[in-house]
Amino acid sequence: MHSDTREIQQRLWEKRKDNLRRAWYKFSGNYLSIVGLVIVLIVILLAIFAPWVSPYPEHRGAFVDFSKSMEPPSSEHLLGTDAVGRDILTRVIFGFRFSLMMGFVVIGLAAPPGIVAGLVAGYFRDTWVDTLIMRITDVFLAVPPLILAMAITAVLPPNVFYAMLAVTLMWWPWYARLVYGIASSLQNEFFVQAAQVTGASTPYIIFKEILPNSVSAIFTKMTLDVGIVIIIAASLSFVGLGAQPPTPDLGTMVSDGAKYMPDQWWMTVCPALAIVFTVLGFNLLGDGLRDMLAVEEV
Amino acid sequence: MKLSTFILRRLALSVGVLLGLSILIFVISRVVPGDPVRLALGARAPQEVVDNLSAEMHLDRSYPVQYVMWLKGVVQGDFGTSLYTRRSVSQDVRSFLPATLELAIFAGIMMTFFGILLGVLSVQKKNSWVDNVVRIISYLGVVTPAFVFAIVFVLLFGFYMDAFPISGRISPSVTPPPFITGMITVDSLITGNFRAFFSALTHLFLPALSLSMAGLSQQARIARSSMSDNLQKDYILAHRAYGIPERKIMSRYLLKPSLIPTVSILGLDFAALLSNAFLVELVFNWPGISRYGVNAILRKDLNAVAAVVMILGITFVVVNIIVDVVVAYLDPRIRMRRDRTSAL
Repeated sequence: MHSDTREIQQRLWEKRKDNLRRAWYKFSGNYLSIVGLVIVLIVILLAIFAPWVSPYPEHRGAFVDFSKSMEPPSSEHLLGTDAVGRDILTRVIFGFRFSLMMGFVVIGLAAPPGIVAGLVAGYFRDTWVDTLIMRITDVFLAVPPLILAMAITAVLPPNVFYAMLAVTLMWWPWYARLVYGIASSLQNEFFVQAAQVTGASTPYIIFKEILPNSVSAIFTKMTLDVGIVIIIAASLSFVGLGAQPPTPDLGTMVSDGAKYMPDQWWMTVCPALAIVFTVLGFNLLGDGLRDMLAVEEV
Repeated sequence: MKLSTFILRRLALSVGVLLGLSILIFVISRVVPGDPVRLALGARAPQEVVDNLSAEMHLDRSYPVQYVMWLKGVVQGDFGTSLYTRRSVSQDVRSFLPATLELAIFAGIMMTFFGILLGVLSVQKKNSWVDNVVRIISYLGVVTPAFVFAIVFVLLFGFYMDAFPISGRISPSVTPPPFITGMITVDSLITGNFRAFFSALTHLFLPALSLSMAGLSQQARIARSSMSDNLQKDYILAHRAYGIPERKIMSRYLLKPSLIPTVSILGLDFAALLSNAFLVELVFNWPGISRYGVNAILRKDLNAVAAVVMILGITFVVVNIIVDVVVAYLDPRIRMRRDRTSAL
């Protein structure tokens, strides 16, 4: 008996390894997914090791060296320097930290409540619970996310923390809507009915039966959303409602640099391209995951 | 479901959404830490003046009473007075909104036209270099923030090529038309002032292009995939078998059913247009509601913020109703389905 369970576990493990191998084969079949994965890894590693890999780590904050201000890209400063003489490459690398933190924290905070709301509403489809939850999400979705986030930052002091809070507050309904779509279609399936007749509790059915079936869609959406949240965060700081100087933030750098167009174009173009590069990475990776996991809803 | 029933149901839902939105905006605009009146008048204003202004704006009443009074005003088009300029917010909005609408409408037209055009081109020349260029454009459109497009276009077309103006709505040397709708292109056409019309049009081009890029690429992507899906269908094969010319199949039989997905996403794209207008207006110095809104936000001018968000919310809801009705008209299957996620 004991050896039987062991054998089953062994076979399960083999099966799982096999699935992983298949998944990787599917994922790596499209070279764009690999490009996305590589970009995301580069950005994450640069962000983690920023103090060691950036050429002038002391330039990240309120550093001033007017003798070197507004220098065009050169071997000494690969992306040039800004109006007060700080190395732009260094500030871009440190800027990745804020962009990534924003993306990960917002998605990490917004996804769980959205997922729970969507699961509950979907499971209790066509009851007052469904109506209540989904109508509330409708209200949030009735305003473009960036505008609602701006309105929330309007009443709070402008800084990174409140910017994250604002974006989180308007991001959960997207997860609620995604999961609702899946949960409400699964709620009538035989495996759910089977669990119901065997007397499984509602939380068990919701979290152990329905949730695992929505994981691939959620995971794909999270990857794609990191990119979108980075854009929203950069937009907020571009307007002046996000990170405040001297924090090295990509959106702030673009808007500061824009004042020096067209002669010192690198001050605005380089951080702008850094944003595009990061978001491109997450999007390619997300698309790859979507193909690999065969998700259609996202 | 008949089309009229569908429209009525859709309207009823929207009223509920707008009511909820008004509550949300009211809550956001009243949870300010600190006294907004004190903030507007400055630390040195005597307490008496602060109290008077609070009373004048009913900020001393209980929240539910304040909400009802605010909502009454909103329904009548009165958003209260600005704490900062002390002028009527509705009047401010009326003078700034047309510029934004003009920009958004032009961007919407460019987005739809060029998006579908690119999609059609890439399906016709599938897997050729045209197709690849379209795919690259549609990918860049998704991953590039609107303000980056704006800055790149300013640099390329404004500074280096000197082809288009990059600031304001009309050349200073041209007399602007009188305020009729507030949209300079429309007003100058009404008054027959073609010089002003062309000046306004060239000023519109770059901001509208930057604004349209995100939606344009999405439209191109969706048009491409839905057309190539439909190309596989039997009815197209049947048309080919009858010897109907390829061009006619494309324009008469393939395009219409393939455009339904692009139309139905127009509502979401319009939302992106409205929020990206905030960024593009800043870059091009466009005197629209978004610039007004950003200033209101930075000054914590609560009535103005509430008005801007509420009006953009209303615009968005109205556009979505129109889109839904158009889609329901084009595609009877939508009317039959009781789809909740399409409620918005």
